Amino acid sequence: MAEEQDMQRELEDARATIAAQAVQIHRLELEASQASGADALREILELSDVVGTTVGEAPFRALLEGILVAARRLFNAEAGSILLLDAEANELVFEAASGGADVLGLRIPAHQGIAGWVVMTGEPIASSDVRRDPRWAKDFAQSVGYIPQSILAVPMIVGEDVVGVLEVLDKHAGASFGLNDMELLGLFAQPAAIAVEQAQKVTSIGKLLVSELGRLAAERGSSTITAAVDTALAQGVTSPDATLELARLVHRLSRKGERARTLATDILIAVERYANPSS
Amino acid sequence: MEEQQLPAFSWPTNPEERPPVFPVPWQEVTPDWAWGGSTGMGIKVCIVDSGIEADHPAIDGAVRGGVVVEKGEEGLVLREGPHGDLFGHATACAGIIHKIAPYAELYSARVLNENLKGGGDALIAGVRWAVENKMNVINLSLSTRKQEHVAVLHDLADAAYFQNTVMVASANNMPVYSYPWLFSSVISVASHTEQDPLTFYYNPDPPVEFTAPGVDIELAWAEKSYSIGTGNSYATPHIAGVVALILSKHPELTPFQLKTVMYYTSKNVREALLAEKERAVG
Repeated sequence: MAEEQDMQRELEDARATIAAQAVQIHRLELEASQASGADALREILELSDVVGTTVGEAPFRALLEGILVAARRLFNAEAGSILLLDAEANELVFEAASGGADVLGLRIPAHQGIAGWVVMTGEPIASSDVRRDPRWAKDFAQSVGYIPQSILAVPMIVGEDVVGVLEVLDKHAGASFGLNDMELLGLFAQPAAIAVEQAQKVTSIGKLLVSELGRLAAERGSSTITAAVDTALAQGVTSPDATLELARLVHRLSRKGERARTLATDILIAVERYANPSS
Repeated sequence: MEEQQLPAFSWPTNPEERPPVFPVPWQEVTPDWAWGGSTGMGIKVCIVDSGIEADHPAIDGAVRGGVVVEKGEEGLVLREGPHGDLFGHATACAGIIHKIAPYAELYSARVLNENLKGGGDALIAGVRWAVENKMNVINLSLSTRKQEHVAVLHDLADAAYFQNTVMVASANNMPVYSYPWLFSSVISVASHTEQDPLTFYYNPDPPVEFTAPGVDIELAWAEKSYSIGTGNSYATPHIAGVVALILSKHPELTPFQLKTVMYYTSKNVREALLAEKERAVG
């Protein structure tokens, strides 16, 4: 019980941190929409560094995999997976998988099958006789590589929204998943959802940064803004070359993983555009 | 004359105009008194869910009507008529109710599909349809977490309560706030691990008021298949079925009287009463 309370407290702390960051991001968005470009940029970069250090891309994936492996071991389950919702594409993406076929990165329609039910309703589902439903059997044969006997799937919830699904397949010795299992797997889904929420914040900071750079680039020709951006991006730097300084920042971002690296490339392109107006 | 135009909260001052009351003989309330011999005849039960597969052998032609909530160009559209089950969940609930109350008339309000993405507004539209069509029982093995829907759903639950439509709602299987099961005007249901379909327990620690079989339940499923499932979703139609039986035999009961009948017929309360009686005799 004490452990559970500790865990709850930690989850609450994590939520509070994320909420504070969300407020900060919102404030920065407002600020960025106003004139003080250099200050906004500097703050965005500082925040991205803080958030990026807390949960970057690499630790995010590792965290999800860790949660999945722990859940699988707890239930002695044959396989397990974490699917995240890509709301724009209306698809679920296998973000972590353990046991079963190699399905990492595989996409399935977001509103059908067992995971689809969980996304639609926000409710967990447990079935100990998957094989008799022809639709399920087909879904599983395609996505997991085999048809399980039993499955337990729970939603990963951020605020009011389902962001993903955590599922474990085939409990040890052919036993079915019960109510306690449902509750227990739900506890595993909480930190997984927080990891997703945190990663979303990193992405939204990146978007903010790029849009701000883009805005400044669009205003190029103004030497005062170029100077302001130089100051913001290359604070305390000896080299007068703003692009080099930016590259350093971008490098720092890129160490935080693939998503940040893509973001860094976007930034470089944006900067390149305003540093070389003729190109 | 004008007095009669007023809504129900104006109790007629003339005693002769007052509606009759139907006293429930509490000392005689047993499962046999409550639903013995009842088949659910004359009771309309609406399942607001993924749509009942009406031609499933486990449903046995009990579906009498329904509606599909769809996304139109300008908001939600209701289309009455036959439809299938997009998943299996509604058919599972319908199968349980039909097994318990074989003569109850089933109605299906389909509020889930790919376009709706399980939005709470579709759920509300389905519940509203059931309330407006004066269903006796609404089975809701779903809930919504969206705060923006709470007030509207709360009003609907109250409207149902006051017109003697009994809304039976699943408690969320996760420790989260969702609705309508948290409202006091509905019957909130969670699971126990026994299998007898007519055995339910009273929970003195609300919001969940009753528990019914919800573990390893044999279910009718989509495409005329069957499955075995666990969750409060399947406990809820057990209670909805029992409610249909009781209301069929005692149509005069209001929701609060019905809850009291269920209190007296729940397994743990009956056992406690029996133990007390034995103590008094001994």
